[in-house]
Formats: sequence, C-alpha cells, structure tokens
Amino acid sequence: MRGPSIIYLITRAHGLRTHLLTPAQYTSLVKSKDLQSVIEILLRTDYAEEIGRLPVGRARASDLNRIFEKTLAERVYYLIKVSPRTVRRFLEYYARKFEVENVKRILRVIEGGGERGEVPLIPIPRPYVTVNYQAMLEARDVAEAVELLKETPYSDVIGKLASYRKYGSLLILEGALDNSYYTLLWKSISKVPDRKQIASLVGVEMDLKNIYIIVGLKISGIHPDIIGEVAISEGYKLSPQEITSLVAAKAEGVVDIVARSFYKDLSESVREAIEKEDPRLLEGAIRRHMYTHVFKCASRYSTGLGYVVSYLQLCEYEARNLTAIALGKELGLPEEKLSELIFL
Amino acid sequence: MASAFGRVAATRGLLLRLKDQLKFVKKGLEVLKMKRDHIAGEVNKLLEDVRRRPQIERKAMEIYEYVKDAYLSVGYQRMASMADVVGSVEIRPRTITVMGVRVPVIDILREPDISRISDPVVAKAAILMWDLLKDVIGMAVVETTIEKLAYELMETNRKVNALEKEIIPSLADLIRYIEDRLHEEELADFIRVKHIRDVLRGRRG
Repeated sequence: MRGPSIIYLITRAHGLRTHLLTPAQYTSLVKSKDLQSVIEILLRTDYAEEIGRLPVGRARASDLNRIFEKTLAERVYYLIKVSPRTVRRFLEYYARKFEVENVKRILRVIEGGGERGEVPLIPIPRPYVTVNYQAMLEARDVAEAVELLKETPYSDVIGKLASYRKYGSLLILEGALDNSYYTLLWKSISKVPDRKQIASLVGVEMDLKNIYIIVGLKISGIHPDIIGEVAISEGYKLSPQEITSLVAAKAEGVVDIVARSFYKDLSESVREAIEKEDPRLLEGAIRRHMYTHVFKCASRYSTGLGYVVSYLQLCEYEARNLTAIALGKELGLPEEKLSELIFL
Repeated sequence: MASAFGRVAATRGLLLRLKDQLKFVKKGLEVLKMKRDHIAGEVNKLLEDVRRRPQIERKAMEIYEYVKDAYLSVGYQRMASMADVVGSVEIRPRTITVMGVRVPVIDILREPDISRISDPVVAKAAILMWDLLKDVIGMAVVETTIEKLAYELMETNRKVNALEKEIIPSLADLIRYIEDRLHEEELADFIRVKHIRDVLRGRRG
C-alpha cells in the first residue's frame, strides 16, 4: 500500500503531464513559418514567462535553447520539492544530470582555453548545487578544477586524473562523471518504492547511452583503452561481460554482440552506422528506442512511481523537440524533415 | 620616314648605340617571354586545383547538412560547449615569391583536437567541418595565387606586346632609317667625290 504522499506525487505527475505540448501544438510549431511564429505559439504555453522576457523580434534559437534547458531543470526540481522523503533522494540523484552537464561544460572550456565567463550553465536551485562552479571556473587547469570535486558526489572523478594525464583526453573525465552519476543513481533506486519500474526506465537509458558512446566512439576512431575508461560500468540489461566485450570488440564484432543482447532491435542500426561511419543513424535509432520505451512505461506504470520518471523523461524529449524545432526554423529546415526529427 | 623619328641625327655612333639597344631589348623580350611562359605554366598547374571548387562546394553543402543535424541532435548550448573543448585553430599567413610575384601561403600551426569531443555525432560533424575548412583555406590560397599570377601575366604580356609590336619594330625601323640615311650620305659623298674627281680631271686635261 502506497503512502498518500507517493500517491500525491504520482497524481501531480499526471497533472503536470497535461502541461506538456500536445501533438496539435507540435503540428502548429512545425508548420509555423519562422522562429518568430514559433515564439508566438510558445507564448501560449508554460514557456511564456521566460520567452516573454526575450527582446521582441531579436530572439534567437540559442536563447530558446537556454530557456528549454532551464524549464526542463525547473520541472525536475519542482517534482523533487513536492516529493516525499523516500523518493526525494532518488530524484535528487536523478536531477544531478544537470550538474554533471554543467561540470562537463566547465571542464571543456578550461581544456579548450576558451572564454570562461561565457560558459552557458543550466540554472540549478541553490539547495541542490553540490559543486562550486565559480571556484572551478577560476582553476588554473583541468586537474585543479577536478580536485575541487573532492567534497562532492563526483569525488571518484579525481581518481581518473592519472588516466586523463596518461591519454591526454578529456573524454576520460567526462566518462568518469557519467559513471559517477549513473552509479549513484543506480544505487539510490534500491531504496525507492516501485524500484523495478524505475530501474526499467533508468536502466534502459543507461544501457542505451553506453551502446551509443561505445559504438559512436569506435566509429570516431577513439582508442579502445579510452573507450574502456569512458564506458559506464553499471548495466541493466547489458551484463558486465557484454559491456567489456563491446569495448574490446572490433567494429564488426560489435554488431554481433548487440544482436545477441537485450537490445537486438538496434543491431541493424548499429551495423548501418558502422558501415556508413555515421553515428547519426545510431543516435536516431537509440533516441527512438528510448522514446518508445518511455511512452510504453508511462502507460504501463500509470499508477506507480515509474510514471513520475516517465514524465521527467518525456519532459526531456519535449525540451529536445522544441530545441530541434527552434533551431530547425532558424536554419530553414523544411517541415517534412522537422516532422521526422521530433518525437510524438 | 624621317618625320616618324623626328630630328634624328643619323650618325654611326647612334647606329651602334641603337643596335646595342635593340640587342638588349630582344634579350629582355626573351626573358619576359620565359617569365610569361613560366607564370602561365604555374597558373595552368593551379587551374587543376581550382577545378576542385565545385566538388568542395558540394562537399560544403553535405557537411552543412551534417552540422545542422548535429545541432538539432544536441542543441545549441551543448554544441557550443563541445566546441569549447577542441581549442582554437592557429594559422600563420605569409607570402612567398613566384617569378617575382608575392603569393600567399597559410601554415596551420595548431589543429583543433577533435578527439576531445565526447558526443560521436558532434565529433563526426567536427571532423567533417575541419576537413572542409582545410579545403576552403587551400582553395582561398590557390584562388588568390591565381589572381596575383594572372595580374602579373597580364602585365608581362602587355610588356611583351609593347616590346614585340612597338619598341622593337620602331627601333628596327630607326636603325634601318639611319642605315639608309648613312648609305645615302655615303652614296652622295661617293658621287660628290667622283664628280670633283671628274671636274679636276677635266681641268687638267
């Protein structure tokens, strides 16, 4: 028997889902003639407040992208705020994907020697921030910035500094951040009610990300040792042996491993991506696979906590869809191409 | 004919000087022709590279589509962040001299480190884009070189034409005129001498 606070959270997620854009709204957005028309449609949605602050007639897709990221983060943190203690810990871990992304952005700008004052960070409410971004931005180099993660949930990343120095690749540290994020998130699931439902959503996301990273980096010609460091060590339907085999296998062997795994549906896309050396084919297939899974879970787990996670993942898809529409309009993409890119 | 050269003093000294000048101008013409042929050869060689331009333009359009897809896939903010990691490209433009013509050369001192990009779609877009950028830089150098060489070729051709069609014929005409004048003067002197000799012989006889 679920407690009233959990029932309230699930009911709230159902209510919040009605705020997501409808297929009819997406159709209008896709058919709109330019970015300004997109903005006018969005002014009648949850994005109105943020978009209303943009200078009239001068808003760009990059401004909208920032707003979509911000709104996505706000939606996640809002659910954390209304969630009971038993679920809150898990949701806090889940929301750390924004912090991980921010840390990655800081490390990238330090590594590339770019302008540090211009790093576009996703706004995170202060109580949930565990990293001192300002101190990281003021660090002399990547190593010094990573050392600042000592007292944070990402302290494991410090242990990867030796590998980072050995291979001279920031991929190692980005991989370590992902590993740290998924390991903690995966552990936190064990303490949550409806853990099977949540594991199904988070686990599939983790596995698919692993397949994408491993295969994609192989296509990019990255050394297997580096891929081994970057791959997420945890697996849901991918066993540790399968992950190790994927990392060690040559490109052709990867297809067979995927074909024998739980994700055999993706093997053709993996083959095509490898043959054409085009990671887009894999990325599209993986996103589509994940979206179908999330959508199914939202119906299957409509009375469980799985629905809450499904809702959060649908929010991510909405942010992605809107980013694609805004950028697509700015870049002059035809309607047909845009329709293919969005997930409905 | 005399009017074409104005008041030319038809002397043997001037004739020798003019003949030397003509020899020198003809040598200059030879050198200019050699320069013209060499420049034309260089331009011809570069034209092969310029023929790749439509291919590069097609490639640019394909890559533009790929980069658009990468933007649509990860969004503007993440794309911008991943662009931060590759570091800046460093180039050094300088010039070298080809047959006296200063043409540009661009040295790439630092390439972007694309292997640092963690997203495979963005990494692939960056690889394609950098490859294209190198082609574009190469094409810009080739086109500028051709432009400079073509200008020099035009100038040299103009000089060759001026020498061939104007200066050399007029020098040759002047020499011929002076030679004719000198010949006429010699003939007049000879006739005058002969006439005087005949007069003197008549008086004696």
